Amino acid sequence: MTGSVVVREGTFADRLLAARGSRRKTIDRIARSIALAATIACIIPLAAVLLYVVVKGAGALNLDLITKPSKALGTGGGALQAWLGTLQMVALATLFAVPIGILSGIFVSEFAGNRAARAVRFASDVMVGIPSILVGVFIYALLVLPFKQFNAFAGGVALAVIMIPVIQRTTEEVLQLVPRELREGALALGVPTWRTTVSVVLPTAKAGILTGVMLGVARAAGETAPLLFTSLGSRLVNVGDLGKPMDSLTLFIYNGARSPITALNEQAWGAALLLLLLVLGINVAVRFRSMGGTRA
Amino acid sequence: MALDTPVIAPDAPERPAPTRPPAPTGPAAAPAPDGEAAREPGIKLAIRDLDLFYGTFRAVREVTMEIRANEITAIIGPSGCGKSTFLRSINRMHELTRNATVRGQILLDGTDIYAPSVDAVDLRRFVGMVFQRPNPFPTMSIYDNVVAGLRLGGGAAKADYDEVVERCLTGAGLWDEVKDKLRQGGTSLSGGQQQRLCIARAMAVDPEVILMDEPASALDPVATLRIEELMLELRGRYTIVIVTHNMQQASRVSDQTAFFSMNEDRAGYLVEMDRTAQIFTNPREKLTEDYVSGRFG
Amino acid sequence: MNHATEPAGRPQEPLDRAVEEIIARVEGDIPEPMRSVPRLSLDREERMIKEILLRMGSLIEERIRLTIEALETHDAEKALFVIVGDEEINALQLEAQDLVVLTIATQAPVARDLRYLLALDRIGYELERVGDSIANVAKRAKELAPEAPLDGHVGIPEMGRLAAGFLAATMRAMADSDEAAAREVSLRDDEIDDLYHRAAERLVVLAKDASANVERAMRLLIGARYMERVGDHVTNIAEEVVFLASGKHEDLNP
Repeated sequence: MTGSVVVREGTFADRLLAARGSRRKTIDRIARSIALAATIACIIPLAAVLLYVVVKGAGALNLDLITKPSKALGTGGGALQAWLGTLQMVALATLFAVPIGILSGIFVSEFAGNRAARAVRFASDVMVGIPSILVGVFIYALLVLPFKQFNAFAGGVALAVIMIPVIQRTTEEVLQLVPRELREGALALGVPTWRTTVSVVLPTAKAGILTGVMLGVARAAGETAPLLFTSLGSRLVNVGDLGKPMDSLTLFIYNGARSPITALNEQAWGAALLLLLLVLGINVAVRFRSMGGTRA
Repeated sequence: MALDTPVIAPDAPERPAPTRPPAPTGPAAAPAPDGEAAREPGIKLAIRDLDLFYGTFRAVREVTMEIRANEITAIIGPSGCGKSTFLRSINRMHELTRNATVRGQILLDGTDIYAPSVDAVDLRRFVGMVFQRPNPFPTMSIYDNVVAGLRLGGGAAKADYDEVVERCLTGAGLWDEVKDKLRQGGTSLSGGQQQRLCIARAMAVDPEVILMDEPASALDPVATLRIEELMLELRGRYTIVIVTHNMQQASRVSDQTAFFSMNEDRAGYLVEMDRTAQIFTNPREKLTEDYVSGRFG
Repeated sequence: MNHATEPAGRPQEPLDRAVEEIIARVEGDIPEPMRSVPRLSLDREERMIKEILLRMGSLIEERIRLTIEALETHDAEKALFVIVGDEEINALQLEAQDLVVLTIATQAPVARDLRYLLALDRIGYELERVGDSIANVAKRAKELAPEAPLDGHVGIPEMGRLAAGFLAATMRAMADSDEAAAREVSLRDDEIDDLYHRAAERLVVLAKDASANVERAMRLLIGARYMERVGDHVTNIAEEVVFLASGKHEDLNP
């Protein structure tokens, strides 16, 4: 190697000045502005909806709305039967969907072969994309027509069908994020595979799975279309009788909003705010409870 | 990320029954106990004609070697030469990989660990493993990490746990640093401490062999030296097999060194195995010489 | 397909993507056939040390010849040149030694490289001792310069010429890391030893003959003794050459 010294022109400051790219900075500024604008455009509808519901609903959300059922005829009364119905049917759906969703998520992530996993994943993705009204029609044919009776059980099942793919996909994706080293670490200690999954993999993914469940719950609580054909809706308080029609907040909103009567319109706004608070409340409660266990 | 069940290579020839090596002659020749193949004293693991495959790709070719009991055996070699794959075949972690297959024999104290009667999960209690990156269970405390193998694998009664935790953490040189915070999460420790916790965790199930896959490659030099000192302390109680990229490390800690390389077929094979002092001062093979002196790789 | 009958070393087709991923995960890398990678800086440093030693060797060889000339021509000045010039050889040895230490510290050599550096270090030490011995012979030559020659210096010049050739051949063996050559040349030490024993016997006789001879005989005996030591040191160098080439310790002149 011949040691030749490279002689550069001018001082370092001169060269730095020459290298300064004003064009680059301009492009950078423009790109940033576009991205910011897009973000704002994305947030505006969300904020507007929330604000609108809060503003319009706050006036109608009173104790009567929560504690009293609708009057059998005419206006007045509250939405007691609606939020009780939502709670029951979502609970029922959760009861079905959580074990099925989580277990199938575990199966796909931990045990299935490549081809089986791809098949299940595809099925789940299709399920997520199916218009929810089709689920309602399907359950109608399956659980309403044979009994000639709209019933809450069918509503719960319809919601479960909507929840399952959400939970399944999130569970699977979260489990994929658990480092392989942890599984191998447990297996290398002579821990059986099932024990590794239950005691090492699942606890590590707990927060993520819970998020999946919450997504499912929120989705189910917000569905109207599948309930139109199954639980139908009702003005009566129905606690525990799954064989009978049952109201839900979404159905209550749907009916109230379509009504020509202003009072019912207003009640619908109140119910919308109530639904929002309900989903938010469940979310916060579950997060708070799971906080003690592990870090997210 | 599915963990597959083992598949024996479909084209593998019939696995020969574990054969008795020729009986040693002389006064020391004692008849082997019934049902157990006779074995040479001092040899913990005997590997015979081992081939390891991923699908149809042969990652390791025809390895035959003996690993001595209660010594440290280092495996060195260039990147991708199959040394980690080889290590993982010793406690049957290899077969957890999809389509991974095995041909040949690995005799642990004379018993073929790939014999149909041997269960991989049981085997791993005798042959533990420490990984490249420290992997304490993040949802468990330091205490629970140490006893995880016992608790989850169904071992000693709960009453013994306190004693096991103290003994293993002391053995791993970690007790004094963590004795006041056993209930804290294992991931709250530094990298070097986490790795020693993982070694303590491996010790807790009382294995006979500990495999280490580049156990210090993710650690800083000081933590690396602590791990090396720990290995030297464990020597004599456990048979340790360590894969390392760091030749200085191999020369510092090991008694025996095995050098793996590969040819055009990219299948790793054993070039030479000898006392470590020999490998690093005057190896027999030119290839080994070039590799340890940094002129090949 | 039977892998067992596959000839070893046959190139395999490109790896499956999935298999490649698995191997990269398990092994941390995709297998690539090994290839030579020269260690240029280590090689350069080894060469530098070797060159210093070769310079020492040729310098000493020249000093041996000068000493013989000084002895034969009774040239005290030439002898003094050799005596004073020993400093130069000592300095070269220290230079070589420092470079060996630096190279070991920075390059972490093992196996052949380590043996090579250690052997070079000891060769430097032996060369320095050869230099000392020659300076000592030169001192005797200086003392004997004003005196009349005694019996053709009892074969010391022949010893010196043999030693110089011996040294040159051994240094060549070192330069080539030639184990066989080192073994072969080491036999020459016996000839030097023979000459020394003959000289010693002869000097005893001369000293007995006439008391006027005693002082010169003593000086010549010491000179012969140091010249004989040169052969021993060069033999040690030959042994180091065998070590650096083969890793074996061997006594070439038992």
